[in-house]
Amino acid sequence: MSGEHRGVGAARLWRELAQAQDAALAVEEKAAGAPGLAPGNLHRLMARTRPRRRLGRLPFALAMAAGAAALVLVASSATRQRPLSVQLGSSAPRGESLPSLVADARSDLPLQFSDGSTVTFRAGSSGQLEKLNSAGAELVLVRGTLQAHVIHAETTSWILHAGPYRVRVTGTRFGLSWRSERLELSLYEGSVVVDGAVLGAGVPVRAGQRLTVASGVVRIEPLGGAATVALATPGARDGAGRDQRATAATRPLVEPLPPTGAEAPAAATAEERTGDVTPALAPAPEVRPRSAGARGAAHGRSLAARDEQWLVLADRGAYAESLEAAKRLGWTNLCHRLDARRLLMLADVARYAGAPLPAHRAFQALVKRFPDDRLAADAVFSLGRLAFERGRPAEAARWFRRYVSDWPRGPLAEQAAGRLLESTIRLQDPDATHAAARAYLARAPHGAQAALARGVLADAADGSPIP
Amino acid sequence: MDRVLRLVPASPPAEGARDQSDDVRLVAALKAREAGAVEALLRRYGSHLRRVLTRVLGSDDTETPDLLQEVAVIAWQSIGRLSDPLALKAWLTQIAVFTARGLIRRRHRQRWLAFFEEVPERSVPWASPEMQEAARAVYRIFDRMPVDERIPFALRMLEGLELEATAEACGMSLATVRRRLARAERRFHKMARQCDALVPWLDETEREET
Repeated sequence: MSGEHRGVGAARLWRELAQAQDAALAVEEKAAGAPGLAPGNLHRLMARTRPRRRLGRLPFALAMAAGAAALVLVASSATRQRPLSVQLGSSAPRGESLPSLVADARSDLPLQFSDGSTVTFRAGSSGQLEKLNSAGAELVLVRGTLQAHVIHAETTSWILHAGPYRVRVTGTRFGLSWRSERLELSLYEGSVVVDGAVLGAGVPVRAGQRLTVASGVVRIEPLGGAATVALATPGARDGAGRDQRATAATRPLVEPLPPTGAEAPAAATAEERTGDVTPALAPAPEVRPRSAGARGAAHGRSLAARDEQWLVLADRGAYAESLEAAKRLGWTNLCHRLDARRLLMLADVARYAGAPLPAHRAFQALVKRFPDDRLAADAVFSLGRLAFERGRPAEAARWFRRYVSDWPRGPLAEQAAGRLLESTIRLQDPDATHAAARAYLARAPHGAQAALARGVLADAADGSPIP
Repeated sequence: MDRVLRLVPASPPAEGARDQSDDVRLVAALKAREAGAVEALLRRYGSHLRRVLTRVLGSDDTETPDLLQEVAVIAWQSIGRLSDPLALKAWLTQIAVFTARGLIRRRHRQRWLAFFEEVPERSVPWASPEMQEAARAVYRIFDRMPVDERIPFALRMLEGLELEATAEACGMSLATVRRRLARAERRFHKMARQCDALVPWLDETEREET
């Protein structure tokens, strides 16, 4: 690798950086055992080519002709299932490392697994994807709420941790919440076993049931009815595992209620909305049945169910279907009558379904109808983001500028200032860019866009055009 | 993808005749779907491809192993379109470059929709702290450069490719790559002069301009 033709300004930098990279590669290859081929890569390569029809004979052919070592590789790869992969929001996780998951200030964070399972961290929730293998995944809900839909297979094994509790899953649909030492699990389909802390070796929960554990009290109740099985645990003081010795001796004998049948998912969802765990799903007053007679009530319930279908679908993470269901009710109609929280949800459904125009209309309705609601700030930010995504930097700059001006201490103010800077750069407007850069640095001198802002101002000092 | 699979002219033979015949045999084995051909390909060119990806993305990039697989899969799937076996290395390099370019573009589209917490810097014991700091600064600057400037610039400066080879790897004409390299160099040095970690690495003439 000759260095004479490299840029003269930093020849030493390039030479030594290349040498350092070569050294790192040599170390990694030595550790991997074969140059350029990390252990297991061939397995994955073959696994990826196997589904293609034109390559269908590849594993067989390789197995036939390869040596004994290759045979071992092929045999083990054939018997092993393909590891799950996951897509987070709109992006894929980085390489081998499993990231911390933080749903941003208000948006949900949907995780789509390659087996069709979905786990959606609700806005403001956080957690960790700890393990991912062919049988399932292991996640930690640090705080907040998530909705999960795990696809059942023979070997499915998913585990979710929330505080001291563990939910063992073999294929089901449920909502899980962990907040202020309070565990709540609403099971819509399938069954799970929850163990840990006051639950000891495990309590089975079935479809149509809700398990709550708070202040040492364990409850299992039907999602759709008022009956409650409440079992106090005298020895346990809280759900965090304190006073465990007393808890073990007085572990509650929880007898699960029989499942509520086929209606469980719908009933569960309706009931779920009345709780405070998932306030985003609180029912809007206008969709409740108002008719007096039995027929009227039944008709009202039917209308309400139809009206809320998009919410149920959104809850499952089926955003495209939810969008279609909402459109059938009339998008304009919904934009005119939903409350702020549901409008935000409606807009997010459209955004996740890849429909920017309906999303734009819903966000705009929120801003127009509820200008003083704190959710209007989120909508303004989202409108800026949508405009930027649609290649409209001028419009994006207006929304981001409005956010910074109207909610200077809002949770997204720093991000809005940074995106205002990006929008003005895209606009090729030097004055606005310099103003945005200065404003950003005044607000966040060590922020994520500080280097960009400094670069812009340095370029301005040089008299250079904006990069 | 069409550009990735575009046939490229054969490079002048830089290695010996034995290497050439090895390439001919390897391409024939890949085309015949022979067992062990992919392994042989990676054994022969894995290091080179990994190095190309590292130059473009940096040593810290955790997606390099996945991209290497991606390159191998594309090569396996499209080997039938390689008419000149002696062009194998250049052809693979081009696939690696375009695969990396796709990743960078994807990241540019997604970076401001970040749902992740800040990913901690990986500590790599392969260089002095100053070098590591400089490396991070270089790739931070690269991240702010247009991808079609960044890649030829990285290949030329770090991999030391000649102009013709850089153009070939990037699928650009010689004139285009020359123009982009000049622009990239200006852009890089302008940003590097503002970066404390890089100032000590700049030549005297560069530093005087700050």
